[in-house]
Amino acid sequence: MNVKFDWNEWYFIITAAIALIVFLPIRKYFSLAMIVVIWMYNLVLVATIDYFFIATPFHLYYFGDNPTYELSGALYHFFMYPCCSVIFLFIYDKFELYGKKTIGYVVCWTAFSLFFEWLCVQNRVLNYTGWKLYYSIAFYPTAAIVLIALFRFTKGKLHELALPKLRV
Amino acid sequence: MLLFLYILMNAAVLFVFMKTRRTMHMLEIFVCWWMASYVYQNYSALCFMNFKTLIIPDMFTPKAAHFLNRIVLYPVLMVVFLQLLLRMSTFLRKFALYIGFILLLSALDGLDHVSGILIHADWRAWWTIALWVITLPFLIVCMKLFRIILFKGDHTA
Repeated sequence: MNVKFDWNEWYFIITAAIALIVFLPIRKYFSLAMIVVIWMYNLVLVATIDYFFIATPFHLYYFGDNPTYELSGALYHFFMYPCCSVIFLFIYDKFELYGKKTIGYVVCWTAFSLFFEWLCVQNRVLNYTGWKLYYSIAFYPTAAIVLIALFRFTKGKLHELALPKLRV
Repeated sequence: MLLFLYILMNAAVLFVFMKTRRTMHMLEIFVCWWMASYVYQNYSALCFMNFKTLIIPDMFTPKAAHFLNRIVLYPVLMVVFLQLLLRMSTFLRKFALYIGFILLLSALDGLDHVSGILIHADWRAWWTIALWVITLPFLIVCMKLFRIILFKGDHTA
């Protein structure tokens, strides 16, 4: 392992901090239970996908300076993706981007996610060793649709729990 | 053949899980499943990619079998442990369940080594036992914390 604290580590910290700063004021829009569910789902999803593609036998990409499990990668898993998912759901629910609007919204987020992934590659945060940027085109919309489905499912379950409390 | 056996084992555990009487809320099950999977994947990734004390052979079959194990077999067994724990009334029974699951999960880890999907290199047997001794109470704490958030929190927002 040869970890140097250089620009890519700063990039990890700055982008994760920006995501966290945007997340903090909007977190109260959701209940704490919803935040935990969304956070845990994203954490395990990205950890699973990354471990699957980074490790044997695929070796398609790696985070940071070495093809090992780096703290910077874990930092991204823990803060970046869950915060971005909460922001995604906040805009979706606050502005009621339901029905046909969802398609346009998912397309916009896919474009933004691809641009952000490209930025990560340019800043050597993400190093491709077989992966291509266009492979991700299928991943982002799928992840967004599953996230919306999970959000609606969780909202329904939490509503069921809240109903007895609302009864007089 | 090896992959098929592991698919069968994962399916059997999933079947047992679905047949176990539910003592947890659906959201609790999901959160505990994800937490268990995250803990196990981190243990596997750190030992495999950094410390090199675990080796996953560079072939599709062991890789796929281990992938299934870390998203289904081990997390589901840990959730079954939590479900059964909630049904136990006395401390002695809870402790017996805890010991039983440490032995079961350690035996599965040993089976992974023997079958060649997760080879332990320069490994001490007590490390496996220590992993489960720590992980299971950690999951109990996570479950209890989420219970407080879920059942005492305000979900009208």
